[in-house]
Amino acid sequence: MDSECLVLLPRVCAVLADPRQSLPDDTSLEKLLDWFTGLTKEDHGLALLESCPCLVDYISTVCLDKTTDPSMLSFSLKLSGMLAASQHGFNLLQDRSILGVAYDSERWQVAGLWEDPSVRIGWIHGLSNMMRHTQAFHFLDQAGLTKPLLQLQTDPSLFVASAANHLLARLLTFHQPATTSHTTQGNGLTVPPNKEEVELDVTMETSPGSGCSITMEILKHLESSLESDSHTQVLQGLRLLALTLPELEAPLRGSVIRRVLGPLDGLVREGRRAAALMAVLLATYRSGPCDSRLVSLMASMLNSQNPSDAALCAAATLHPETCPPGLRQKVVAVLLRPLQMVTGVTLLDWPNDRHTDGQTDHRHTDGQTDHKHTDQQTDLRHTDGQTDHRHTDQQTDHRQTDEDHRQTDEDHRQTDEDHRQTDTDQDRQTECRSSLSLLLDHLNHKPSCVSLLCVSVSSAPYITDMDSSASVILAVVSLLRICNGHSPSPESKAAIGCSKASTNLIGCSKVQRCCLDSLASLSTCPGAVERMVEVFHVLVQNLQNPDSDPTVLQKNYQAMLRWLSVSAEPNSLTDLVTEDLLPVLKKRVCDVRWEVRDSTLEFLGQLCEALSCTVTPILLEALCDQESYVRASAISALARTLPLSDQQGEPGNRTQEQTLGQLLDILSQDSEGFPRRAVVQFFISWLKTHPSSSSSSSSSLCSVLSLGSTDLDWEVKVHTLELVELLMEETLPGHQESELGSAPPPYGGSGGTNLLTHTDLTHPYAVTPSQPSPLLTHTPSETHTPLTHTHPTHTTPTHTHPTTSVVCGLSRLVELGVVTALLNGLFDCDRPVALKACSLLLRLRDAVCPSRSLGKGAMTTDDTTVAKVTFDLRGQVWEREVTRKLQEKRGSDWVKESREVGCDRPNKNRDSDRTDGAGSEACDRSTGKSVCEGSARVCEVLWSLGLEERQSVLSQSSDHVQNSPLSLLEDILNAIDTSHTDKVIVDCY
Amino acid sequence: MCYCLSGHPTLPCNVLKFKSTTIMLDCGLDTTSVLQFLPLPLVHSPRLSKLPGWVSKDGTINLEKELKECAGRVFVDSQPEFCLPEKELLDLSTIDVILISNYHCMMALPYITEHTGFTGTVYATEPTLQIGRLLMEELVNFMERVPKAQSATCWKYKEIQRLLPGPLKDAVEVSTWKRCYSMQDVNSALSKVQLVGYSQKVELFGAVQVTPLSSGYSLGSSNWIIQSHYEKVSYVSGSSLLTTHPQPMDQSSLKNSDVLILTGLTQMPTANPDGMLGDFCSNLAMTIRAGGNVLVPCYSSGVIYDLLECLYQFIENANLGSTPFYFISPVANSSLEFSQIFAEWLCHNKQSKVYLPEPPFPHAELIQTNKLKHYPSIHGDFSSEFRQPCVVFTGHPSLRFGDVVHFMELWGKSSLNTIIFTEPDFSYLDALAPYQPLAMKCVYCPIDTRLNFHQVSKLLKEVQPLHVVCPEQYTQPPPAQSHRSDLMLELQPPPMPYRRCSVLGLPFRRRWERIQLLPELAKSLVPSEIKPGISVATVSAVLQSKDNKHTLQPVPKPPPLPPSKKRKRVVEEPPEVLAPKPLLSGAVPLEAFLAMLHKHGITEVKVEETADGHILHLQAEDTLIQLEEDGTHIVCDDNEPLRTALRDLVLRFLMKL
Repeated sequence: MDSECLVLLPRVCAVLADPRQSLPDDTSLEKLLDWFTGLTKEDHGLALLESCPCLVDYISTVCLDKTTDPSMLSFSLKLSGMLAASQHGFNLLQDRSILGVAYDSERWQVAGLWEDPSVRIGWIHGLSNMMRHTQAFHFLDQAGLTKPLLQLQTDPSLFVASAANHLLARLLTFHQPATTSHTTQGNGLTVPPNKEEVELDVTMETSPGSGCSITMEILKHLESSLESDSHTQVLQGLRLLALTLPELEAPLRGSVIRRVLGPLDGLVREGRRAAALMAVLLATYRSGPCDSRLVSLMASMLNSQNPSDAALCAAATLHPETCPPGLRQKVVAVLLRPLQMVTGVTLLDWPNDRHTDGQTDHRHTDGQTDHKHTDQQTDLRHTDGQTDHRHTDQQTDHRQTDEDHRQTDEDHRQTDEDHRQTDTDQDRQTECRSSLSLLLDHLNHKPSCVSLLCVSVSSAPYITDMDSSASVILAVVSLLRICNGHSPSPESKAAIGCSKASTNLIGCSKVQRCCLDSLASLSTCPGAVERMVEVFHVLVQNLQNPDSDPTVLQKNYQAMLRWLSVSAEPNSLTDLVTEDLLPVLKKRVCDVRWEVRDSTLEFLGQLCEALSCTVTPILLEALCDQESYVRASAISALARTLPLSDQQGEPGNRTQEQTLGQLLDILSQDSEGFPRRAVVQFFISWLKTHPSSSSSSSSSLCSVLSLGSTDLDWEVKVHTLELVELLMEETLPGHQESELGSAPPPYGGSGGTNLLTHTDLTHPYAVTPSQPSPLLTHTPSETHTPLTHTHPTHTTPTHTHPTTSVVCGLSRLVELGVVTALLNGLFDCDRPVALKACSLLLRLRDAVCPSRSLGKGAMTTDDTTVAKVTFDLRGQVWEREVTRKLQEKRGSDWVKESREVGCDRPNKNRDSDRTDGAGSEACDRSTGKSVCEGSARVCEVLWSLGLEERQSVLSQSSDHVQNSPLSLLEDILNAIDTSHTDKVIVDCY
Repeated sequence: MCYCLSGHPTLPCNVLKFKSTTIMLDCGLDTTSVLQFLPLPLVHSPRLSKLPGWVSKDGTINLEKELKECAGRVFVDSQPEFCLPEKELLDLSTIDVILISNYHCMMALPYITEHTGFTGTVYATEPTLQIGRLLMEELVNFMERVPKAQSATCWKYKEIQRLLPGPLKDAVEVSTWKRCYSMQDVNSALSKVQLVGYSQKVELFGAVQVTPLSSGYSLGSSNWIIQSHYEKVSYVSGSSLLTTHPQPMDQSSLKNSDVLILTGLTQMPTANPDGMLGDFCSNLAMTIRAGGNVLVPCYSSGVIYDLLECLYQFIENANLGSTPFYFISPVANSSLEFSQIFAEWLCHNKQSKVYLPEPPFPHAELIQTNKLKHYPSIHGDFSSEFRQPCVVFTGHPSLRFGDVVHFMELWGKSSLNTIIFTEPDFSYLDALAPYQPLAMKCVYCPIDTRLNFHQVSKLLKEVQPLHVVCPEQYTQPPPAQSHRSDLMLELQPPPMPYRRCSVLGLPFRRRWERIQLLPELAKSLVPSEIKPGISVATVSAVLQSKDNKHTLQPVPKPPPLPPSKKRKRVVEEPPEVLAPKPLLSGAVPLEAFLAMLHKHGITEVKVEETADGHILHLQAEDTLIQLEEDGTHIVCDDNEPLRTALRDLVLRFLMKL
């Protein structure tokens, strides 16, 4: 803490403790607390308490006063907890008997302050802050604070209730008895040592004061809340359990599980609060070796009567890391069944519910799959519970079982067992049939059908380890076709009993989006290649459908790119692209909805990059689009197709110059920022593939730099500076790795990355920043010829000395307008622009300008040549400013030099020193006319600008002064002062 | 009763006999028959004139003159003919009124009103009449511009027709097909139209009242309510819930109908108009950008207004500002201008523009800025100003006559050009058949804004008619999409389907009639209260029924005898009117009556219970008294004093009015 704050803090504390004062700004307490939090983190609060004893006084005053403002009390409670987080602070506060008073909830209830939720939450946060050492834990125990805390768990304020739950979780995990061994089963589940758990319970019951009593109290409360009739209480109990169980270790963990198992089982049977229950189970499962008792609970949740609940549970369980191995088959069955029922594509061997517990069924051989499928159809057609049909089905099953017996040739005992099994199978089948009819009901009702299918389809990509992944793809494709209004694909068996479901799905963009996402992910799964044709067919169909929603089309494009990337034979795709895809894309580029045009152009760019085909005419047409986003996308797409159009030659009679000219027109005339930004980015990618030395590029780059650096949009200016950076790297060989290549640019242009492997698909309507590419994507051309320009400072032969090439490079930069662009940026009013320009100027100066170029000391001839490179600053807005800086610099140098030399030398000599090789220069420094004929020396200007100083000013955010703690303290004091003196209320209009 | 004269669901022609009135609902003309004919080129087409004539394979039938083969199909080479509504099902001269719902559904009007003895009135809204007239004029103009001397008739003989190939063989009712009417017929038919406004109540012979309601489909389009005092029939034809140019549909007035006749649902239930409009625009832009021309065969009124409005916004976006748009039709000018003056028939948005004042449709601006030009025909000014690439809107959508035929011949050979079908009335493949082989690209974007099945089921849920009558096509999914159970009407009770020539008995029960009391008669009534709040009075009056109105008039008094003593022949002597006897009401309570008898000395009474009351046997007097709910009989032999006494006893218990 700095000394100024230290001086102010006691006054602030006094003001805050004064109940007559009221705070004008209620966020200042929050800010104060944040500041203290930062301070305590540094030194555990020790120095804070020692250097500011006023804080303790303040807390004591506030907490003793029963008429304190609730927000002030809340702040004090939080602060005291924070200070008591260290043992030293805790003892200090205990010595002053502050904690007991402050955390006496009854006291605040009597004072009527407890009703304010901010006090309650302050109380909880204070205790939470404090709970870092055993002393605090004992304090809580002895002061009997557990009881009010348990009450707060069901507080009407959600924030309070949630904070209380977190604190309770913390208390439970704070004090854990020593770990003992637990046995692990072959399947990774643990079987808890029941004996130890029981012993632990006994210990906790019988040893008060060891901290176990708190744990015991909370556990009992938890048990009773899970059995409670109140919805809130049950929910809070479940949340507490979800917070606690992952953190607990054996044997306490086992003991907790043993206690809550009964209530949890009851809740599962009730079939409500499935989401919260599943959160508990999954959190526990993820955190470590899972208790087998919990896994069986999970299994019974999957058997839930409500298909939506079962599907949600299954989806949550599915993840490979968290899915208990025994449950996976069941989970897959729950998830895929709705998909199978609607599309009619065989995904599951039926009925496989009976194998849910991971038992391997010897009767379930491959040869029977088809047969069982027929049974399933019969089942489904008569889901109304017609017993006759059921009877036939059972007969079928008997017959099948008999046949199995013959096939397997098992011994007699085995046969008996099978008969028993068959009996239970019949029960299960009945149960299964009723759950099927329930599922059918759900599927025939639009909202539940959509949500079920979305869950089902979104989970499909995670089920690809099974052999049937090709069928899963087929099912998703079928579903997409149904959404388009087509009947399910002829390959699949007719969808069973779900005709209503399929009519519900027609034109349902939610399901379509899910399907397309899923399809994109499925592109990499094993059976994908088999289904390539169907997939492309349906994707093209989506594109042709005029009713497709723009968001659906966007997803469609993403999926198409993914499938194109995995296609084994790109040549076969070229036909598809030219015959089916391109015509419909051409149409979509003319779509009425701009979103569609935009995403289509984006896709076209990526497609061309992937398949090496050009669609330049379409893109050029789109440059005139009415919508700015579309124009921007067209430009980005052009940038992507750039290398291709070079290779294949421009189609038609359009030359590259014309395209560049059109882009420059956009940069100079477009009223919207997006296209202009895209143009600059276009040139960034262009520069990466084209040397800047060609005459067309030189003139275009000059224009881009001058237009871009004076644009109104700050992002255009930043992009222009990125272009400048690239030019600097290219033009100043030998410097890139040392100085210029030190940092990658924040926004990369389109690099040479293959977009098909580029999984990070960006927001549809944003200007696509592609992956940052390494700075030096190409070897800088060293062969460019020196250029003659209006200010020929010198001519140097190429391929000579490094310094010579520096001279050459610098003059080239000057000629391109790089220096002007950088100075434009430096004097820009947008901070990010100025900052970027400043850092680039610094790099340029350090890379190019010899520090001796200021004229003192011995300077080599080369350095002198570099120092003599000039640039034109006439007509620039910063001309006056730069001139002034130069004068100041020269003035101070003059004085310095004079002191060193001891006398004034005649001006004449000096001038003659400086005019060698540059006849046009005739600067008269003594008269102050430092800029000759509107030009100035680059290095001199760079040294005169005080760039380091500027950089440090610019790197501070504009509100750094207002955000300082000193400012906060002053604000508090000022506010109090003014609120006392000025009672004038000013109307604000 | 409902007589169904047309099988076409969107070009209905039904006759409703309701409460002694005969009302024809719409008279749509099924023009799909023209697809069997060869196109009528505006300028001589060597291709069409050189088509080979058709001779049956065995050579037995030679119809070279009448039938021509083109691209594997056979077409009739004659003036195109239309399939008329059924004329034999009932005598058209008995029709009292014709109610027209929109201008597409009145094209058969001259066939009905002329030369059939029709003497009734036609009711339609003003835009319906005016635009209907334009469409009829255009049709007549198209036909008369290129007259064909010969008329093919041989192929229509049943024995020959069944031997013909392809679609000709299956054409129905060919014998009734008729050539287009003349302008004279049109004028005469339209002179019988009486204009009505929305919600205006029109009395028909006092029996029923008909009211047009806005249906939201086209300018001036209407649904009709036909109601008597106790029954209500709604006729819903060609309605739309989309917010296009017409006034929005009036749904609430359709509530509480006994019967709702539902016709004119969308012909393209799977094509969403918005999507189609988008597709139309993108295909158009794509063709123009590629340097091709776009041909849009369309009617000269209706969807074209929406197309132009959509294009107005789109051409700026798509950078098509310099592309010329041509609208060619004999009535193009009138159609574009009419649309701007029917302000009161437009949607609110457009109406409010009129007060700004601004033209309600943006095509006015397109015309002003020379982006849209309209011409009566390809001859004349158009040929000198024609620039390509361009977009041409012209009729007729069947591609059999009109200026569109010329453009088909002109542009059909280049794959750069595109024809975009927007009218849903014709199968585009059939329309293109005589132009095959065709290099031109073809896009089908049928824009049908009429109600779809989803909307109609919502509407019916809202208005809850007791019974729905609809074409049978609506009660099953389209044949091509048999799995789409969402593309049919599923109602409870199921709708009553009809087809051409069906006669349906509408499920009405006529139970009540309203009768009016004249004031002087009312004054003479003396009500007496029989229960609290219910008074009864006897009325003696003469019931006069005239124009389906029933009135009770006071009984005319006998004219005073003429003072003259001249003997006159009394022609109609009014019957002597006796003072009416009082009416009795009430019931005779058995116990009290027995007590009363006892008091009057009749003691030996045997009471027997019957189904309707009681029989009292006065044994001493040998007299029977039958006490029933609505009558008392006293049976005694020749003992008049006893009868009178008993009667008076009974009367004591009854009230007299």
